[in-house]
Amino acid sequence: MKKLLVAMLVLGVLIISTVIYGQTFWGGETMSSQKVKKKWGSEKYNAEAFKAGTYLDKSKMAYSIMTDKKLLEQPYEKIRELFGENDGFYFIDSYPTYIIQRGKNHSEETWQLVFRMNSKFKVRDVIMHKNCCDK
Amino acid sequence: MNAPVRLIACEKQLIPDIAERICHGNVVSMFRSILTFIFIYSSQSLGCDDWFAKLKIENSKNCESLCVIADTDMSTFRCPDRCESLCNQASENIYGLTDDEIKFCKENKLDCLRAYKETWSAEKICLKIYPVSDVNDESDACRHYVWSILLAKSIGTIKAETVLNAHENNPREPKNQQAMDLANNRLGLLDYQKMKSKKITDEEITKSFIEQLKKNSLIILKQNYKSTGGLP
Repeated sequence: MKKLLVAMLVLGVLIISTVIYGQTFWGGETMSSQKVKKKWGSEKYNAEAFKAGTYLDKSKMAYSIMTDKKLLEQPYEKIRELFGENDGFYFIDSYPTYIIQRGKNHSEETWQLVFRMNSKFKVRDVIMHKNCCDK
Repeated sequence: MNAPVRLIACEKQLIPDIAERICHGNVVSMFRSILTFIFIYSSQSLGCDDWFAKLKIENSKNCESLCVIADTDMSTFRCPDRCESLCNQASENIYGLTDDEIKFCKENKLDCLRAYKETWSAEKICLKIYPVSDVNDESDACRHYVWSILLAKSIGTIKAETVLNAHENNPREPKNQQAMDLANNRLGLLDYQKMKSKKITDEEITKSFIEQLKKNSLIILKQNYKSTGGLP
């Protein structure tokens, strides 16, 4: 019985470690929409204002973009038309990715909004991804 | 010895010498069974992927119904149970791979995983040089140059070239960006072939990248660090 418990404990630790490693492995560090709201507010987004705005303007609209269900299933071309050219990078060049906070050096954080696409290049989800740094 | 007999033997210690061996070996046997199950299940899953691929119904609207009624054999008879996930998997390529990458991944599962892992390693190496991963700039050139070397080191030059070209075969990517990436990939592969030791370290790859940057051999469309010689 004792051996069984030890074995199950070892197996549990292995599974948890794999899940934790896997999360980082498959996508890097991300921030939940609730944390985004707390950090940058929840200003309603306006695509034109986002396109022309500063990083500060963009960051304030990030939460409403992340939580707008209407953006899901939108095609790649539509996202590029709405929010403009990429200025960030996530996994492949053709995921629309927009920096909303840009660090000037390795000790400052950079965050970006990523429109992750499915195989039909329609929006699968929108995530806040950390694009950088030592911190 | 069947299970009920073994249980009685363990509880009652009816056959002390045999019971000792069997009962104390239970955890090991159980572990072995779990591992065997995992192995069989994963082999079966891989078998199902191949079985499903051969059906060529992944883009069909009736994927699930065609999948459920498809012919099976002794090794794939349980595959129809997985039709829902197989059809979803086919329509939801969650990592945004190009068609050529999907093809490569289906044929080289382990190398595909290695290639994917190396993309993150390349980005990590380049983020030690540049504060941000941008597009079309020096950090982009760095990622491609470093990735191609890491790939060649990990899966060999020929497969690396296949993956690198497959990755760029993306109709949505503007042609000038594609050309930049392909050129920097090529330079990485050529440099890897020239390297004496194939066990090159991350530091050596970084050094090689900086040398190429100073020689202006890399293609960079947007020079973010022009005033500082390509480095931050």
